[in-house]
Amino acid sequence: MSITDSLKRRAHVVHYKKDIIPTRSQIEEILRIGYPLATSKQKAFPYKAYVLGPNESRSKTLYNLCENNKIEFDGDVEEKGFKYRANPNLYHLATAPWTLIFTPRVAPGNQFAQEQCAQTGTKWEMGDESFIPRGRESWSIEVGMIAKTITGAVLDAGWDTSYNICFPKDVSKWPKNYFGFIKHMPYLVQTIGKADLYKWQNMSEESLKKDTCPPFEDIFIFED
Amino acid sequence: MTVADTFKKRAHVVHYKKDIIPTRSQIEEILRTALPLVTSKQKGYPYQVHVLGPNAERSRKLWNLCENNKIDTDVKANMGDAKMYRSNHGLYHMRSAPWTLITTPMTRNANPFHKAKFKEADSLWELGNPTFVNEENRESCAVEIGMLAKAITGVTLERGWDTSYNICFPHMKHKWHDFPFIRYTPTLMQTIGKADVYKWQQLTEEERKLDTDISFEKMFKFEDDK
Repeated sequence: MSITDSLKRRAHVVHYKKDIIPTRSQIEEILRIGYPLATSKQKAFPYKAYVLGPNESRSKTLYNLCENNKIEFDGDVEEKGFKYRANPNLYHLATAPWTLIFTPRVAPGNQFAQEQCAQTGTKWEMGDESFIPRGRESWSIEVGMIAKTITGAVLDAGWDTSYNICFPKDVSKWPKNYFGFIKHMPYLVQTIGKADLYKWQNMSEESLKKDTCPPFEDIFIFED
Repeated sequence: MTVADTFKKRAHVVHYKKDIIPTRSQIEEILRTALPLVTSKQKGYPYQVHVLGPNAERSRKLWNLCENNKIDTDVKANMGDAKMYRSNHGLYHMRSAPWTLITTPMTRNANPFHKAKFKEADSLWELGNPTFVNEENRESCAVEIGMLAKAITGVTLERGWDTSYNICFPHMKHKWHDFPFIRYTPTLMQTIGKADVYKWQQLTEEERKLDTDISFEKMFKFEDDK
């Protein structure tokens, strides 16, 4: 099977099944496959993933956190005469049996990197917590890459996965009872489980026709 | 073959071959195959990829731009003693790459579905705003750019080519004056070609042992095990 055959099976999940749930060892195996397939500049891997298992109350709290973030952003739409509708793209957070929350990590260099820096007088920035705000954009790329390798391993194992980048950017808003481990604003939330309903199944034929991607030519510009 | 079988073939390139070069149509086929394998929030795809073909002089300019950025970074940190200077091997692939992708943020309009939904819900579509795209959304956009880069990587490897990444370049737009098509500071550079030398081939056995990844346990914290 080609990589195209694997990755094209991914579809955004609306609800996960409650009765078919990957075990902890299945999730660990997926992560152990996905992790070495990612790369990091100077092998720093300046991020980590908190792996949260099945806990309905915690998942619901996470969903509420993200949905409230949207509400806060839009303001009181009903006051302006619009009908409030919850964002179905966030529902997967509420039913996900497994959730990965990627956050920054202070990353000392490995022995090779330390020796190279010493020999060349080069600064190792990733071991400095104060550098995190400046490094976030670059490290987000690496998080996107590992999310994709994990996605491949998830799909190859017959499970489903979805992503979320809509959450409060202020760490103090993350409830301490469930998310006290979060010290820096996360990069990405990724869920894993068995889909009960995909987004495309939740849309009318008419909506599917309108929900287009930009054409290839808008994304890739052959400059020559 | 699994996804793992494909991705594990990737290795960082030091030099690309000069006599075996993917054609434009081969590169286009790779990109056309990879694009549908990624997703984007609300199908916004708020980025653009500038695809540069074989041009030794331009590749050398790009490499210089990136290497000088490394020197600047060390100087600003009060480091980078000139006597200890060694150019960064990790950037050499930029110099010999036949194909280079430069990905930058880009404004996008909502597709017809999201346009209607946003109107119905009185919600703001931010991706059409250049300031938002270039200043406030860069981090979220970078996650998606990383996903696209990995999809391109997978297809590139399946086709028997090699690919490497670079995130060390000037983050001030005015420094990109030799590349006038760059409207927003780039997020990622990715090169594609046929490797002549990989990074691991340039390291001694001893160095390879020291150049470790972080452990699985440091990367993944199973919070419920505590």
